[in-house]
Amino acid sequence: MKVKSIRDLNKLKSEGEKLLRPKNIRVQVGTTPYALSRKARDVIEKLKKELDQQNIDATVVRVGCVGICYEEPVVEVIIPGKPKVTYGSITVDKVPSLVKAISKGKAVKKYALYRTDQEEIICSGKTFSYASRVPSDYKKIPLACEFKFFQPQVRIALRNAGIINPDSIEEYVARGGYSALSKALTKMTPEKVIDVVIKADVRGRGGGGFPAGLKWKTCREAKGKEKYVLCNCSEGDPGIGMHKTLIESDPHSILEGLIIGGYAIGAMEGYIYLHYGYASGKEKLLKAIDQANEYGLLGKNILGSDFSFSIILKEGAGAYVCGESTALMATLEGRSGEPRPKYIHTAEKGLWDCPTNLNNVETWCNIPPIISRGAGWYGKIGTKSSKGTKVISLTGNVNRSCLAEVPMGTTMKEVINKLGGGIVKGTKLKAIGVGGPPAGLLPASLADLPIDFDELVKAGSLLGSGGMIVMNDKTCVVDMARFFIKFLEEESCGRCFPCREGIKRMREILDGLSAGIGKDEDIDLLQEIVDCLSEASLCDLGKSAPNVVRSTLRYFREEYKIHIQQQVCPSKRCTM
Amino acid sequence: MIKLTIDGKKIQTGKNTTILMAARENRIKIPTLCHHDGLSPLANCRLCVVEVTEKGRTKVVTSCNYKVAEGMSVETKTENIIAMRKMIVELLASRSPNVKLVRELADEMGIKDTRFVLENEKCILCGLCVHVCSEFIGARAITFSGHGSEKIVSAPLGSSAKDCLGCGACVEVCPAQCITMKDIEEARTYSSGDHEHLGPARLIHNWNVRVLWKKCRVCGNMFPPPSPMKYLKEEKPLPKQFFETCEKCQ
Repeated sequence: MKVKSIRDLNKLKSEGEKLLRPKNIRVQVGTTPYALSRKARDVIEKLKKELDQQNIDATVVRVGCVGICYEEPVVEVIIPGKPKVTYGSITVDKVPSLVKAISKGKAVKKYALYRTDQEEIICSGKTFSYASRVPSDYKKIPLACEFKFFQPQVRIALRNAGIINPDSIEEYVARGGYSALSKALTKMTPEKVIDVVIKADVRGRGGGGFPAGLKWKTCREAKGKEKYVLCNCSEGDPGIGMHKTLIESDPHSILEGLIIGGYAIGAMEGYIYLHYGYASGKEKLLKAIDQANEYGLLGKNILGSDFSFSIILKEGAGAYVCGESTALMATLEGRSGEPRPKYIHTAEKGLWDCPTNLNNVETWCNIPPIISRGAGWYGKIGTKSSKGTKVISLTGNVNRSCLAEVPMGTTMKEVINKLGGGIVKGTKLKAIGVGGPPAGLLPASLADLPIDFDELVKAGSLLGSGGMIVMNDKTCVVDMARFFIKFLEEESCGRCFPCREGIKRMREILDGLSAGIGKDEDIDLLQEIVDCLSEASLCDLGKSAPNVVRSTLRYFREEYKIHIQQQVCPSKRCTM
Repeated sequence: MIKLTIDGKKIQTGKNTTILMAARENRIKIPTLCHHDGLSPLANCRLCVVEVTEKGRTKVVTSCNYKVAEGMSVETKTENIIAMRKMIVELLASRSPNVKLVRELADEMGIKDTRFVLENEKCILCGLCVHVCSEFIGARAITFSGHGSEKIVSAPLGSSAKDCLGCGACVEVCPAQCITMKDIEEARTYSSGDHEHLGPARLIHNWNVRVLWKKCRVCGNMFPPPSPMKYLKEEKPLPKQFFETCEKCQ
């Protein structure tokens, strides 16, 4: 079926609603790699078998990830006319009792995490209700908004994560998907779309926080035969997975964002850059692109308009530095992934020297709701200088590792305590690493800092991609700095002298410090290298690479001194 | 013409000039390692960093690829810039202490000892050889391989550079003089005890290349490799005798 008008889209929407709220029972299981590693596949098998045996008319659906990683595998049950109930840590032996309860139309309180009576559809602002009346046995289960994990959250980019089947375009449309595209194509000029993005003041979620609208405008106004829009799915920071969650839970939102971007900028082609070897993400994206092509949401004359657009998925070799815009473009062109000087912006001369607009996954996912609901709605969320929300991937010494989306301005302490369930018992918070290796470590005393592009830069860190690694007092900062620098040494492209040589020498010095053979001069020498690298390096990776050393020297200088003068590691991490 | 100031000196220069060119026109010295006048700027060595103030904002840029603009003010010798250059040279001097150019630079900047563990790399990885081969010659015979601190310049996949013309441009531009090239009278191939004479040839050791030479039809002298000639034949419309005679006899 080709979607040629808003009426067709509405038809697709009602089909999707039937899938989301079917006449029979719908059981949905999270199947991201992390859930699968916790035996979600066995749970699905068992669920199907049990449901069959009990002769229950039910469909088992694989969905993405809600973000409660610590409770995986997560199973959600939707019985017609009753609230949706979310169960956590479901193992194979818990399945029979769960199915038994389903057959009676009841909920199992001891496994239940929360219930959902109605949900807000972010793209339209309307509510989607599961049950008008809540049965008494369901009332004992807390509501989703009372569940601690959801309290600080506002889910815009993650609006469909864990709710819809990522392989189903109908379900995406039922949640307000592609309505922003139809609004943009039928009611708005490209300039108007850009205007909304500028007014919403969306800042690029890739790390730098450059205003997306300005970039779009420059790109639209730049002269070029062809124009391109790119989506950066490269994610190299160790221990985080927000892109993976977005790709595997809601691939269509990326496509919709890209198509709107293409329309606004005047591009005919969009590229999605993905790591080589990321099979599950590739599968989901390819399937989504195929579906969009099939339904006429990609290709010629989209939704009956004059606008034509196609999306191509490209796999790169997957070096860390390929997440840098110019290196990414070099990879797409078939050259080796090395950044080039950016004195002429990529918005003017990017891919194949044509005006190119690159944004990351999260930025693109934010675009459809902004177009649907306007800049005013988006502007109310967040802080003065950083609007909207940020997807945070929380790991490290917290009780619960998770992935959540909080409004900008939420403090790091709130994130750690409410989302992460506090620091591991018996230990204290020592440092927080925000934004991956090229950001910096912030001390516990700065835990009250809000998540905000400018505030974090002021403190000597970066928001980066939003990975947050929490460290307790058993962590040695010198060792941690060494770990990050080692990572960066391996991942530096080696093109410019300061980054290639400087990072290597920093690693050598840090190796010496943690081996107990550090010298007093080493601290000054480190500082000198940091000062040189942060300004003289060619690309942003090189410029931000020394941040981890700079921030630890700033906040934990004493610990460096103890390593040198007493030759002991206070946290007993370094082997001396 | 564009008016700007470099180190307080008022300068006029043409459009599309880089800061480095403008400075050199006015005898203001900015050190470089990876710059070659005949090639587009690489901006790899970062030695040519300067401080630029434009529209009230000051930033550090590389002068080799940053174009001049009206009203721009450039400082080439601030404390910050000198410190950065010194650090880069110090890093380089510990990587390649035996490269003449690096030693001279270090002496010039007053760096006596480096504070890092000494290595003995001959190549400074400026990238000029790869750049000249791809941009100017167009052969793309050599490439970078590996990344980070393990990066090297080599023939593709570390084997022999098949597309090498033997032109020697890489040897010409190498500031570290680490590419060894030799012309020999008699090249031979050895196979199972027997050998075949191939005549004169040019060897470039770094890329594992041997390019055979040609005999002049007039004087019988050997003249440089036929493969660049073949390349020129395809690329440039030159008279036939150009390819049959040596330079002297043309």
